Amino acid sequence: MNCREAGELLAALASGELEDHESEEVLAHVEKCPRCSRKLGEYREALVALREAAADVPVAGKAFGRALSRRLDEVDVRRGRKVQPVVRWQFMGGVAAAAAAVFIVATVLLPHIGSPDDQQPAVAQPATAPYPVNAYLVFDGSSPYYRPVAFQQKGDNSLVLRQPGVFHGIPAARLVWRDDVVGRADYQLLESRVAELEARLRSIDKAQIPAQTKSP
Amino acid sequence: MPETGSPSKRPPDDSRAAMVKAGRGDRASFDIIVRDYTNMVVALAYRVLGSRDEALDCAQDAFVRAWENAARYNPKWSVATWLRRITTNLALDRLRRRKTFTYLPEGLEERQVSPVEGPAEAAERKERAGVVWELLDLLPDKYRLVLVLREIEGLEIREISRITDTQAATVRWRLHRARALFRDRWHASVDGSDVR
Repeated sequence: MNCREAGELLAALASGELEDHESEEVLAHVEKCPRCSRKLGEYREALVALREAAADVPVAGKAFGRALSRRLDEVDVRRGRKVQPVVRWQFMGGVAAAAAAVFIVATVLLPHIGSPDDQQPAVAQPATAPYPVNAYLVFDGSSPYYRPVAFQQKGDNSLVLRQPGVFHGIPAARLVWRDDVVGRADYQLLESRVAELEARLRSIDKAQIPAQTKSP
Repeated sequence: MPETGSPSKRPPDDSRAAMVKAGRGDRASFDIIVRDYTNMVVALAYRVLGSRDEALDCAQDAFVRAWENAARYNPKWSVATWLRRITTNLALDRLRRRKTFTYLPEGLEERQVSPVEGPAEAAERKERAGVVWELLDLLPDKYRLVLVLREIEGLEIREISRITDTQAATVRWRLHRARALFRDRWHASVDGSDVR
């Protein structure tokens, strides 16, 4: 066996992949070849470092389970397996660490919402803006990356899910806040909008939000 | 609500049966799958992504994707293989969209120093791990993936081939290249030179 042939097998030898007779043949060459011997040592050291670094893995705790359960519920709602109230979540604020997942529901595109004197319910008259009206944003606060899911109210006050699923880096429908574009529904943090959104939520009478959603 | 914790010692056939039931809409059966495979999915996502928060997010995405597609699960696949495939695809998507590199896995700070490992050793280990993740970030995504699946997850080539939907010969070639690249760069970093 020459260096070129042995070189092709050194990594596999270090990983313990070779059959016994193959190992013996390569090792016989390595014993006589300082260069291949050094290379084999480098492969072994790199492998040890790699496995050591990857040994510490995070553990998913109860918060993970709760958040996942809520997301699975969303899937069920989209499929019409069970009907759940839209209003069920509280926003925990800010760029949250991987903690309990919470949702907030907010209205967008209703210029009259947010005014301290405004007593209109969250689902008000259709806006005249050229954007989707009465659209809701649901944010999952368990991650730095917001996951908006937009609903739109139909004429009969039911809600239709316009953009099912979560958006991680997937370009989604542009979400509009009044006449401003909030941002694309992707990884971008919407920190500047969070405080504003929270303030708006506090002014919304959540009891007025319809309790049922329908799958599209 | 699915509890997460140590995986149960459920025989593989039971998992397949549970997944088939989940495919018919049985949410309780899927909750069992979540309970049994969360640790595996989280660990795999973490080893591909190198970030605790991203790994947890990716793991959630993987289970949501699995639930959405439960009806398409084919019991000829083990549940582990099926979930690994979903997880690696999602993790690869995240790698591609990454705007910055993650050099340090966030989970390491939480590891307690073992009684036989002093603070100095722990710091050294953490530094080495940081270099490893940096080097992994420099690998092409597909090389990184096969390296993780083979060298860390310990999967056979055939299994990796199924998970990545790639021919075994391609997997072997990528693995060969990944090992060589990683070795070269690790050796260079240890040496103090800079090979990129």
